[in-house]
This record gives sequence, C-alpha cells and structure tokens, in this order.
Amino acid sequence: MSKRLQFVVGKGGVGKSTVAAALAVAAAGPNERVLLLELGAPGGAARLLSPGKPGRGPVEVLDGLYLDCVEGDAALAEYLELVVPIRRLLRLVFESNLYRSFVAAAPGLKELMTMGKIWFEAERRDAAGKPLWDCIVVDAGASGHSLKYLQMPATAAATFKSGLVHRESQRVEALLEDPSLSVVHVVASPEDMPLFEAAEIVEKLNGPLSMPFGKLFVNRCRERPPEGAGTAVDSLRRFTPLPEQRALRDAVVDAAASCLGWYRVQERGIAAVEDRLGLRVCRLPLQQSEEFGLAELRLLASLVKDAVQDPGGTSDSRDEVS
Amino acid sequence: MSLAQLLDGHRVVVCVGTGGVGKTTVSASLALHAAMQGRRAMVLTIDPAQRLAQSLGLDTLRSGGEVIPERLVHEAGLELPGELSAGMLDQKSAWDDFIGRHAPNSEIRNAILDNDFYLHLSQSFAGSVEYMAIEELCRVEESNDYDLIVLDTPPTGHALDFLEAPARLEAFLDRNVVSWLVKPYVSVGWSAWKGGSRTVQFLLQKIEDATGLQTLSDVSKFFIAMEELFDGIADRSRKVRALLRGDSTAFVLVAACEEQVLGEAEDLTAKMEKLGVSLKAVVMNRVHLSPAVDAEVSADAVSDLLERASVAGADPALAGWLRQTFSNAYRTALAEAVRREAFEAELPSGVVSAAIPEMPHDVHDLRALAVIASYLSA
Repeated sequence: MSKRLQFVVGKGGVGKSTVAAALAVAAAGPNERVLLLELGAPGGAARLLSPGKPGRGPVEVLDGLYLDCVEGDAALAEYLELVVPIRRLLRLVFESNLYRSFVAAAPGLKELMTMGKIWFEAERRDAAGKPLWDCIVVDAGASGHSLKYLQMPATAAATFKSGLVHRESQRVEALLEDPSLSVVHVVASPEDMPLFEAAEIVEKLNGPLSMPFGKLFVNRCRERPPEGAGTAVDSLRRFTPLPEQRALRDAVVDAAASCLGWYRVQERGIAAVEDRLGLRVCRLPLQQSEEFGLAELRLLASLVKDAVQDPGGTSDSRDEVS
Repeated sequence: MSLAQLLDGHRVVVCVGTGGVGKTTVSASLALHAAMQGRRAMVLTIDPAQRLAQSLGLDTLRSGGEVIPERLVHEAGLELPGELSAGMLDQKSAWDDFIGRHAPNSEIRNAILDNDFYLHLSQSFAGSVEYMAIEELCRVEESNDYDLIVLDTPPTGHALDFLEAPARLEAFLDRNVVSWLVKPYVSVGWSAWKGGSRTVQFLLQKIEDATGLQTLSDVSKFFIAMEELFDGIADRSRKVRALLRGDSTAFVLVAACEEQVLGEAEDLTAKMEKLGVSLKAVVMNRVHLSPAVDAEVSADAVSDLLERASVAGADPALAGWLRQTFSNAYRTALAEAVRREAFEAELPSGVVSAAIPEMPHDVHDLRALAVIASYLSA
C-alpha cells in the first residue's frame, strides 16, 4: 500500500473501527511498520486488538502493527511542549485554570491539535531519515463528526490568518489534500440511511473538501439467497404443519423472511449509491459468529487488501433477488 | 412500570447512546407515542443529515420546529388525538438567536454577530453544537408549547459532552480571562503591558506568535463584547443544569445488543451517575427475539419440517439456506439474550427497560414509527 495516511470515516455503528483495523492488519508485516490511530478515546480497535489497558504511546499489538490513541488534551500539551521549550513555564501554563478552561471550552482546538498530531506522526523520520511509519491508518472514532476533523485544518487556517497556527494548519491541510500521500475511505452498512450518508460523504470529499477518496466499503453484506428462496418461504408460510411443529415453522419463516427483506434493502441501497456516485462499492461479508475476533478480522484484512490494491472499483456483480 | 407509563410522567426526555443504535428513530417514536396519547409532543434533533425529516415523511425540517401535517398522519393510517412536532437545530441560527436573546442592546449584538472569530465559532468549529442543543431544549421547554419534548442528542464520541456544555461555556466566557488577558491587549497591546510578570509577557508573546495578530484582536473584541452577556449566560447555565437534573426530566439510554455497543453503554451509565443525572430507562433497539423453540432438537427438526412441507426438498441448496438462516437467527438471538441479561443486571434498580425487535426492513415512515411505538407499552 503506497498511501501513507489512510483515514476511515463513516456514520457511527457501521463498523468503522473494524474496517480500520482490517486495513491496518492488511498493511502490517515484518518489514512494514503500521500505526493504527484511534481518535478521541480507545474504542473498537483497542477492544479488538489489545485486551489490556492501553498505555501511553504506541503499543505493538501484532507483528509490525502498532496501536495508539490520540486524545485532544494530550495532543495540545505535546504540541505546546514543542513550541514553548521551557518545562517549568509549561507546568505553570498547564496547571492554570485559565488554560484548562480555555482548552476545555474553545471549540475546535482539540480537533485541530489531533490533526496536528497525526501530521506529526506522518512526518516522523527515524535516525536514517526514513519515515518512521510505512502506513498510518486513522480510525476517526465513534463520532459522527469525523468529517469535522478533516475539515479542521482548513477552517483553522482561515480563522487564524497568520502566525504559527495558520502555517501549521496549512501544512496539515496540504498533506490531507495530497493524493499521493493521503486517502480517505468511507464505510457504510448495507441499509438505506448509512448508505445515503456514505454517498454524501463521498460527494463532500470529491467536492468542497477536495480530499482524495479511496474506497466505499459496505460492511456486513449478506450473501445472495439461492434461486427460488422467496417462493420456498411463501409455500412454507402457507403449509399447515403438525401442531407441535407450528412454532418451529413460524421461526424458520421469520428468519428467512427477515434475511430476504434485508437482502433486498441491501441490493436496492447499493445499486442506488453506485448509480449516484458512478462507482462500484467494495463489499465486506457479514460474518456469522458469536464474537468478532482475530480470525474474523484476518479474513476481512485479506479482502480489504485486495480491494485497496485494485486500482478500479471492486464489487460482486449486482444482483436482485426475485 | 412500562416505558410508556414513564413517559406519561415526564416533560423532557433526553435520548443518549452511541452512534448507529437508532437514537433518532427511537426519539421520534417516543414523541409519536405521546402524541397518540393526546399530548403535544416535540422531537428535537440536531442531525444535519435530515434523518428525522425522512423518517417522518418530510423533505426537510425547519429549525424552529413544525407540526407534522395531518395529511401525513392520515396517509399513515394513524389517529393523533395530540400533536406531533419536529424540529432540527441549525447551529448557526441557534447561535445568532442565543446572542440576540442575551445581548443587552443592538450595538453589542451587532458587534458580536459581525465579529470574524464569532462567525467561525458559530459555523464551523466542532463541538459548539452541543452548547446549542441544550440551549434550544431549554428555550423550547420555556415556551410551554409542548407537554413532552424529546431531545435526540448529538452523536459525539463522548456522548455526554453536551451535559457539561453549559459549565464549559461559562468557563470559556470567564470574566477573569477578559480582565487579565483581553482588555489590556486591546487598550495598549500586550507588548506594552507593563503590569504583568515576565512569565505572562513571554506567554502572551508566544500566543501572539502562534495565532497571528489579526485573529487575536478579533478574539479580544469578541470577548469584550461578550462580557455584557456573562451574567445572562451564567444565569442560563444554572437553569439548564436544574432542568437536566429535575424530576420531570428523564434520561433514556438507547442501545443495541452488540458487545461493543453494550460496553460503551456501560461507560455511559457510569459517567451519567458521576454527572449527577439519573438514568430512568433503557431501550434495546433492533433486538432479535428468540423463537419459542428448543435449540437442541431444531437442526434435525428443521429438516423434518421441510420434508413434510415438501418445500425445498428437491433442492439441497434451498434447504441448506433455510436451515442456515434459522440457525443464524437462533444463535444471534441467544447471544443477544445473554448479553442483554448481563447488561441489565448491572443497571441501577428502578431503571425501566423496553425492547424493540429487529424489523424486516428499514424504518423511515410514520407507520413504521408507530409499530416501534407500540413496543414501548410492553
């Protein structure tokens, strides 16, 4: 994977963290150092990959895969340490009520500093001058506001018209908008609203945000039911079973009808999004397992890897169930 | 007590929960339920994606709120003895109204509204929407136009950020900040400010370097103009805090039976307790209800059933699919029941719970909302 900085955005609850983790697992290896960053607080990716309490700084959770979390307050403190190189003075600053209330209340400051921290990691070099990370995957967190993070540098550059914040914001903005370095992936689940919102995000990325869009992943896709499934469910529904089989019959019919219903929603929604955006989505399968663990994650990683390496769109053939 | 009964005794319901659990849908169905009971109900959302509008069958929602037209209600085959209204928070106009309400005169109001820093603060910065959601809730509540107001809270990472918003706004608009930092700057410029210690001067110099002069002067002017509003805002914050912690306000947690969602829901309830607001109900959304059959016998029993019904008999792929969908549904339902039981056992006593089953389709019309509302009385 050549893109060094990969953002994963999408509505809450669609499996953003899972897809971000799969992208990171796919990119990591013995010779590939990958940093998976969660914004805000340790969330889904941490739950999946590191059962223990996360410490400060990146922790290697798999071969070549490091996990860290960027939190606004800490990022700001770290940033100020770089700008104001006098520790005693800094302590005075951090401990003052003024600073605390300003940081807590100033809208946007934490998000800006978070983006600054990501930029810092992307620019970091080792002693030999090689980039420290071959790839950084950013899980934009449980918030529905991941786009706000991506917008922040441009907003800040406009607000602060000169000075350090302005210059730094411009540098972060330039990195985000550089298609040779960054890419933004969008994740949706195969339902109307999440797909609709994903399409809006893609349009914003391609339009006003002018950020390089990568793939639209549709997570938890159902498999195509076999030919004649609808007819079979209907005749089972009409069948008069033995009294002791009635409950079972109802349960089988309900389960199958629900599966067919959601498959129809999925296909209709995906077709609408593909038409609207003129692209093929990348389908990731629904995995039926009691707990989503490392084995399930590795399967997703292999699918995601193929998708990201494929220069065109990837998708199974579109199909409609009768 | 059912959730429906709990609603009857409250004037304000705040729906909290992590993203993707169906908070907007549940919020709308709570308000619809109240309207079906003859109350004047309002559901407030701040979701710019207009999901609420779509689920109510409208194209858009106005920021002031509007009554759902009778035509739509009838088309959905519903009878509403009460009235259902819906409103969406528009961040920018909410800020402008807020300034307008609190500014002592038009001169100060205009000074703020025209300030560059204010424009950015009110429009683009992440986080400022929480301040306004609470403000809007308070305003609607004070209007006395509604018997029940349901607030669909912002889908932030820290889902309870908005609870601390009033206190943080107060902290942000701290009078000390103005008298220590802002006033001296505007009157003589910080570099000429002799009264401060060398440390403060050094720090101010750094801030000035970092932000650029023009911005700093915008920020300073903004704060000075805002000083006139401080008392009003502090007073407001106290009212908001009282409203959120009052007896007629209920916090309702919306969750799904997934491991990750329940983990986050647990963190959320713990944090609510710390913030002094009490959780009164939990709504489990999209629950897979376990069928009334025994798991042990079902694998063979399904085959037997299919044979007797002579469906799919000739087609092993079809029979396999039917067996598989049933067994998936069954296992999912069992796993969910176990997780849900463990979660509910940890809840404080007296918390009402309701379960809404997974629908075989998406929910985006009044009819489907009414189906969801019907599960609240159970």
